[in-house]
Amino acid sequence: MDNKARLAQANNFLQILPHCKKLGMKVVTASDGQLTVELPYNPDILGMDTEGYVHGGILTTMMDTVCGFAVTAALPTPEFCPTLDLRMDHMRRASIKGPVFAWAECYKITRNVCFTRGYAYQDDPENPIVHCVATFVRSGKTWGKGGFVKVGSEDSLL
Amino acid sequence: MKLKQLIETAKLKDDYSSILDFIPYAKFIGVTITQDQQGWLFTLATEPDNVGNPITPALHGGVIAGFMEVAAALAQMLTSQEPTIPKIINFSIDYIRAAGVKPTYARCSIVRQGKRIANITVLAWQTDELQPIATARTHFLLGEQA
Repeated sequence: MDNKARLAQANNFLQILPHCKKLGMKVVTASDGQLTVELPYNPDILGMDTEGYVHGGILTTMMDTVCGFAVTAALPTPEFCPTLDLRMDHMRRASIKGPVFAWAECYKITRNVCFTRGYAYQDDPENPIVHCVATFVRSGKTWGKGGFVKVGSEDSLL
Repeated sequence: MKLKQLIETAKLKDDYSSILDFIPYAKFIGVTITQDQQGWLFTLATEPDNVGNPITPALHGGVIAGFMEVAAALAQMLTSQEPTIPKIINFSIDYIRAAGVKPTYARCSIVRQGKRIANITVLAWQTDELQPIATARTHFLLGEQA
């Protein structure tokens, strides 16, 4: 699959996830095992202050989403992989009323586990807001007719 | 209104909506605060917009994490003698069970409250407190007066 097709597929898939859709998230770059997601500024998702900082929980939501999508982009066949664990390091706060970007890569896939890392930034990817590592468990199942089906089965929709 | 005064007033009235009004994100995902015999209980309402996986269906893992981070910050503020707005340093979550689209609860344990740093663990569950859906551990930086 070329990167243009990956980007279109990732965006179509993002749109069926209610929480991501509500946040107005979109995938802006996609390649083999790497993605970038953009989150528009929204005053409803701020933390406890009046200076316009995006809440940490939103950054975790972005990182969980983009790391999970990086897993899907890295696997030979899309597979349902729930998050096993995730760690966020907050190096500074989002400081301007603009969009936030989150980038992630899936750097290792084993038979059972997918390992990812990523960061979120605003203007400069070299000066990230947060850094994240997350692992995902392979279920052997994928999205199919009527729910989850075995990867590779003819009822698979992906 | 000073933060300390805001918290004291909320405790007197046993109504914490005035604190939640200052946290747009907490309202966005539907967090409420109550108190029972075991301490502060945080609740995440059932919101269709909090769904991450529509097929299972399951809550978005990021919403569960966000809820637990909100709970930890509130627990720290509510128990502090001189409350300040805690700044998140790091947050680590283990997902234990799939979270269905139903009310989710969290309790926090303040492991250490230092002058600058607070270490807090959070347990989240849905139907049975003994069968958690997630556990989290977080550090906050303290000390900036609000």
